[in-house]
Amino acid sequence: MAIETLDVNIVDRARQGDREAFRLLFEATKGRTFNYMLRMIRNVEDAKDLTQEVYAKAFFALPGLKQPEAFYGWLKALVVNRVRDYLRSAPARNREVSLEEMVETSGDAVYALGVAAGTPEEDLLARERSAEMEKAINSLPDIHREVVLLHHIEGLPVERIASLLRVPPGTVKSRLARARGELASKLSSYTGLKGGS
Amino acid sequence: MNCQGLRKIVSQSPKDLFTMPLPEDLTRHVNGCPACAEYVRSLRELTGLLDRMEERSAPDDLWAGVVAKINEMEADRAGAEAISLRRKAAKRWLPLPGFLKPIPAWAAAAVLLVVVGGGVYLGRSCSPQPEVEPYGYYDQHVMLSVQDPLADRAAAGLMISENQARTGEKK
Repeated sequence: MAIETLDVNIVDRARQGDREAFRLLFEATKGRTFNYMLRMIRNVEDAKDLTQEVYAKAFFALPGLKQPEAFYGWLKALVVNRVRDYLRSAPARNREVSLEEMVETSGDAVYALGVAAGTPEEDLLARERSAEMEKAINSLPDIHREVVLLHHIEGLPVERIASLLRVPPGTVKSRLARARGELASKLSSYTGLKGGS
Repeated sequence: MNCQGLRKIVSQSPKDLFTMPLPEDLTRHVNGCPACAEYVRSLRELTGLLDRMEERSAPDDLWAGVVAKINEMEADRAGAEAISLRRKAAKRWLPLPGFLKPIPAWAAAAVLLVVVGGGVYLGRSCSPQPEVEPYGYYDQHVMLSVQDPLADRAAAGLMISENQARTGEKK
């Protein structure tokens, strides 16, 4: 079951405390939630712990959700707020984990970067490109990384991000512009992109 | 449209701008400006790279952790509920009158006032009071005489006039 086609009946059943229905919702959304947590927090164990915590809280808060069709947006708001709380409370030095470290600590294929299957050369190139992009995103300041992930990876429109982060849409746009400029300059040597402001 | 204007619009645009043809005014400028054309191309490429980023697989034991946390929270809630029920039960042993329930602070203050006031009153009435001896006429006369020599005559005059008024005599 994809996020886009979340069944309202399943959300309804989960609202009434049905754990099996809640597990289906979890399975449909865990990938995006965990990836967002991981890219924002940059620490595998904390990302895992926070993901579990958010879903556990969501299970108890679910009966209060008025519109079942808004489940994913509602969950996303819980996730974004929890990440922000974490970033505010945890000192930055405790969170600095490099991409290599993230892949190493996670072991083998579990957290390995997903890349398109093709010829070995294509796979290698795609893997390298993804790794470079991950590194570049990882090096962005929290507020820039946040808008890039929400807009480009999560696909949320600017207005929705503005309401989630409780900032004007203009602020989201300017953060996006700066983040793109930084990414372009960081990736210029690798991809030939030119940084711009 | 100049280069600065175009870059501001393009850099702040939602990603949709880079997956669709540019609006007409931007296209006109880009067609005549190689630098801006390169700028737009690089942003399109960046957006494409971001969109193609793959998700990492979530750990297999993620759900087990969620269930453990749910159970933990349920136990905490059950504990809190039990404490709340015990408190409610304890309250039943000491029923308050209905009018006191919304104002427990006022009720406590009123009781305190009555207790303290009563204590003070009882304390005063039970303790022996020093007897106050009223000054006699002679003592007053002597005191006034010492304070003011003319008071003696004034007092005598006052006394005579009072006596006359009482007996109805007239000079």
